[in-house]
Parts: sequence; structure tokens; C-alpha cells
Amino acid sequence: MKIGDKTFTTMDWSISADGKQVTSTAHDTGVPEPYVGVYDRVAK
Amino acid sequence: MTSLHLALALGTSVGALLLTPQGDDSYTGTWKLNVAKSKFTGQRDKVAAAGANAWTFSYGTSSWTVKTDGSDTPTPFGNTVALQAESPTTWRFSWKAPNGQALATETWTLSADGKSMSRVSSGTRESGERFSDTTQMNASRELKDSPAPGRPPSSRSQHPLSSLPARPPRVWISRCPLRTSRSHARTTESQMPPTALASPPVRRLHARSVASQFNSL
Repeated sequence: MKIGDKTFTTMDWSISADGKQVTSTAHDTGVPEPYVGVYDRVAK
Repeated sequence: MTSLHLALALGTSVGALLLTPQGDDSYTGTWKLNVAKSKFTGQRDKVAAAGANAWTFSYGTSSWTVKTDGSDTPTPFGNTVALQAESPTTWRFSWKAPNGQALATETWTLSADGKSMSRVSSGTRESGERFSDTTQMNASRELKDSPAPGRPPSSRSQHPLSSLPARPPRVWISRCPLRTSRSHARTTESQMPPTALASPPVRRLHARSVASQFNSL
């Protein structure tokens, strides 16, 4: 995926079994460690 | 620059995140970043001298060169940044949208030993929400000629962050965990990533990218 001129080789999203939490894992070109974002559901 | 950028870029900075994958509405809704469980560490940025009063910032495969004369300079992210040296150890960045609208400011302050720095960013998101983030960065081992611990930065250089030798290029790595401070009331919070940004920092706030990318000095 591409944001601005920045390309993320992968950005995976997964949702917990209870649907209350989402986890995103992004691997950015040239950056060795992935960025992991965890989100809690605030509203449906 | 700061967590500012990346944070915005990834949407980690916050907010209401709406996701609607094909054929599945499980992701639909409003989501808030859980800073404690997220990981944006390991962000690396490089800063290298690029001539008189000019510095090149690199983050991943992106790089841009800015002079410390306060002039607005285009970045790979579609916005502009102006850099001013407020003191030998303090740099101030001002990010603007292509239309000239102020997006964020970020201040980098170098430690006395030149081995770490803090990046404090603040601004307004597209939604009108105010934010303020603080990110701590450590110099990597690639920084070989920094002043000895406890020793004040060299006064030879007239560049900001002069305590940082011009060579070799410096590589900075965000500490874990990133520290985020909030100085404004808001319903969501950002992380910088960087950050961001990295984040961003600021790339294009509209793209949620910001300065987390400040990758670094």
C-alpha cells in the first residue's frame, strides 16, 4: 500500500475473535522492524 | 522527525478508524489506538550534513534536504517543512500543507552528550483536533564522534544540534516505549510514531501521515 510517496510492502489487519480489537502490522520499505498498531473498538 | 509522521501515516495516531474489508463488516466501527499494546519502536532516521546550513533527512527510502534558514521546503510527502536553528542543540520544524496551512511544529532538543534527543510535536489534525506528542530518540552506534558523556556540545559548529558532528550521518532510533504526552483535551490520542513522523513530523496530515517522520536528526 502507498501513503504519500511511502510504500509499505505489507500491511496486514486482523481482528480478535470477539471483534473488539484490531491489530495492524506494517512493514515499511527500508525499515527493519514492523510497526504494530492495536486498536480497541470504541463503537460499532 | 517524529512519531508524528508515521503515526499519522499509519493512522496509529488515532482516531476513529473505519475499516470495511470486502465482504466483511467486522471491521466497521470506530477504533481507538491502544498505545500500550502497540509497537512503533525501532524507527530509524538519519541526518547528514548537506552543505552550508543544509541537512538531509532520511527515513526508509525517503529523503529530503532542508536549510536552516526557515524557508518552506517541499518534502516527499507533499507538504513543506521549514527548519530553524533556535540554539546549538535545538531545531524547530514547521510543517505546512501544500496550500500553506500550518499543520504542525516539532522541536528537537539534543542531550548534553549528544547521544539522545527529544522530539516534541504539536499541531492540528484535519479533524480540527489538537495534538501534542513527545518522542525520545537514541543515537545508534553509527554515531562515532559524539562528545564524551557529560561534555558540553562543541561550540565550533554553528549548526543546530552542533554537538552532533556532521559526519558520519547520524542514525537515530526511537526508544521503547515511545513516550506520549497529551497537552490538549481530545477524545483520541496519538503516538508517534513518529511518530511518527515519524510521525510524523509531518507528512501530509490529510493522508494521516505526519511527521512521524521526522525521522531524525
